[in-house]
Amino acid sequence: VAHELGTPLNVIAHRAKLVATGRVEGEAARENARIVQEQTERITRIVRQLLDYARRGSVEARVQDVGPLVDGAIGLLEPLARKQGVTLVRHAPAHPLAASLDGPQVQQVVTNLALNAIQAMPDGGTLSVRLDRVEREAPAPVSPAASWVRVTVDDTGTGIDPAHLPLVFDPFFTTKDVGEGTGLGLSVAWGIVREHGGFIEASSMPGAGSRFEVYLPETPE
Amino acid sequence: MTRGTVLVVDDDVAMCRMLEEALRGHGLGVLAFVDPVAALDALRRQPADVVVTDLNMRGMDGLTLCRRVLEARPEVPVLVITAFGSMEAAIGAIRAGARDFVTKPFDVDELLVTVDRLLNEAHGGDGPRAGVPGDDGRLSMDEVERRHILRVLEYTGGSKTRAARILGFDRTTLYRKLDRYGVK
Repeated sequence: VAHELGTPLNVIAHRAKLVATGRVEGEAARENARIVQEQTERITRIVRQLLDYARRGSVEARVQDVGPLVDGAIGLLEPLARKQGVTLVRHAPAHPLAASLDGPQVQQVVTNLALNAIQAMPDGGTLSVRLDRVEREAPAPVSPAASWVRVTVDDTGTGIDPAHLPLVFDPFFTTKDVGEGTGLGLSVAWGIVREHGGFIEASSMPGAGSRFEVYLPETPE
Repeated sequence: MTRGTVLVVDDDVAMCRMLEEALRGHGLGVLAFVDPVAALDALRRQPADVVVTDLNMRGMDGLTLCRRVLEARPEVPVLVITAFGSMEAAIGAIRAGARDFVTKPFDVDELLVTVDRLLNEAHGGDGPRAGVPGDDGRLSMDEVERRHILRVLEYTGGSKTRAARILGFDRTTLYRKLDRYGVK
């Protein structure tokens, strides 16, 4: 965090000093002010992610159909996907799949996973989001549930280095370029899902793509 | 005609541009890179008088870059930019052959003074200044530690308890070091 915040702060301090001391004027001053504004927005994004990360722990859950939540999250990313040449494919059963959950938080989980998937496909590809119901044992220490609502996010992107795979849910771990990611997106997703009594599994084949599976305990309606 | 050429490497576009503008405005020629590998390639083709590099970079960290620069051009002084509070990074950089360091957040005018001094040394001006770097032009580890402690104390507004916590020392160790470096 010190690096992520320290760098834009350093840039802001210098640019502001140039303007304040009159060392730049006119168009040059405006350009410096524009950079200050841009770096402030960068800090705002980081702080927002930090707050999301810190805010975990206040789940306002109610039993609801997971399908519309997933559709809502994916729908918001459609323009970005289109711009990057990514085709969105959705698979969902005709009947509702219900779980007790905090809607906006679960939407954030799906958004974070789908956004990473899109960013992993700079030259286009296919983002597939599948919703289904499975019965399986949960890994320790997740409390056992009989059945799960599963959201699977698949991409055909660059994949994740096997050495990085165990680290992807760690706070602040990122392989993205400076300013493009704070390394909190997956960590936030992991925290939210764990608070819902669920878990996330990640797998990847470098060069072929990655798969993230979100398991939420099913609550029959 | 510029007074010298500085090769700047920082993978943060905004920081890289800021350094480039400041050094150019200071009358220096600048080769600026956000990609450390490209910077190293450029240095092998085209000489620079001083290298300024961030330590925390993706693709190639600044320490590796520092070593590679010195393998390719041992005569070129390297100034590294380290993250606040990381004395290990500053010590590691000096051990890797860096001539000096500045800690983020830094005042650009102070960085320019350091670059001028390194340029002066590189051009055989005053040579390494007595009392600052050692005989070989490099900072001693004691000097690295002294400056780092002063920087953290400045940040904490003189609070030794907070400074000790940031530095990872207990208070007694900090007091002993301050005494040794003659800091009141």
